Amino acid sequence: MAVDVQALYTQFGPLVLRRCRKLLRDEDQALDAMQDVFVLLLRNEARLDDGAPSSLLLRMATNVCLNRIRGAGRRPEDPEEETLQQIACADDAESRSLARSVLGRIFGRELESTQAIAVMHLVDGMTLEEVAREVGLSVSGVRKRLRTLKANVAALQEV
Amino acid sequence: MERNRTPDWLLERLVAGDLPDSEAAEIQRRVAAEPDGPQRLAAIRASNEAILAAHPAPRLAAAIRHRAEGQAPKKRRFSPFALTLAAPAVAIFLVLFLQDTTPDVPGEQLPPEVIRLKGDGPKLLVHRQRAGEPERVAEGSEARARDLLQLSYQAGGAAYGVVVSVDGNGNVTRHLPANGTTAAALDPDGAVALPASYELDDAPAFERFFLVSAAAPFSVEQVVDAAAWLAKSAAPESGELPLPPSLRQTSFLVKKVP
Repeated sequence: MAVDVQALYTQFGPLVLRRCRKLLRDEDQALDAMQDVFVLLLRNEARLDDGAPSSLLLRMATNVCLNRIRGAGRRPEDPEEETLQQIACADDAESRSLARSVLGRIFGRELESTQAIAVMHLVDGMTLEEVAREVGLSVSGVRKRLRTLKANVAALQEV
Repeated sequence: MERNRTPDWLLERLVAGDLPDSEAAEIQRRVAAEPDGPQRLAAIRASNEAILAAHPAPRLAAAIRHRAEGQAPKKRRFSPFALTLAAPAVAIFLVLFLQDTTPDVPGEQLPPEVIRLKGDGPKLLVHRQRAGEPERVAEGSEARARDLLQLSYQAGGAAYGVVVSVDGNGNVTRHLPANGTTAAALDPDGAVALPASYELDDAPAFERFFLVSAAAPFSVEQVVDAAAWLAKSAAPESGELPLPPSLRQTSFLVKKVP
């Protein structure tokens, strides 16, 4: 599917920017990350389908922002930001391998990153059912994935 | 975060018109039953308009395309050997002279060192180490292959910066930070020499250095991509990097001669 970036930006750019603002809390970084998301789309257009662009873009934005949070080492200012940092920096074998290719996960129809799933559940307040529907896993599959991060993310003790 | 409140994620998808019909109807029912549900939907729609007004689609789409067409730096051309040879002299020179920020003496008649593309503030300084005394290089000066240049910056109030250069072969070289994905924290005081000097290669026509800076951290890749785009554009010697207005950019051109 060819990407009409102007049309996609017009329809989904604000959605992506708000997502980046929420996670990065910095306007310049958010604007930069938003453009990164669309650049990733352009560079992978051959593998993009038109099933649910908003969900795809939200997940891409989440992964792009997590990568930035991981690299920034910023001091968290509130519990939500602390949770985000814990998720971004969580070290599990799966994350290490998946981190090599964010796009491989998304465009290659591989499993969504565990960190992105954790953000959806812990930061966005989505239920396990809602997360499962967004990422195409079963509820038990989402729960199992989240348990892999338990050792690193205190908020996941409830899962 | 309120666990029972409809998540923003789903509201966003609803407003974007990108939910399956059955799910959209379910979310609409939930939102309508929440005290601030309609207001949240209205806020998203208003935000959409504000964002598109502040960042118009044609401009953003062009910037995104330019960034997507950019390439990673093809090579780094720092010369550890040359640096080893030159480091003592350059270091002595920097201690003696670079901290001196007093104006040039009358009659020196050097042209301005920096093209300030977006106002005053951060700037680049370039010095050349030759067999004799290190010399300050003026904007637009001539240089040759194997000249050893030492770049320095003055932060001018900026907190973070990236230094890259483009050459006449269309190559991009990253100078600061040497590693990592985020712009370097700039030292606010005086002229600060970059950790490594830089040996010019035999690329023709020019070498143009850019200092991109901002008050907050930003992506190095964004700058490298913008430089790659400019390097292949029609005016790499005079054009600006396609970067958002929040990033200030200054440049310094050196003309290459055989």
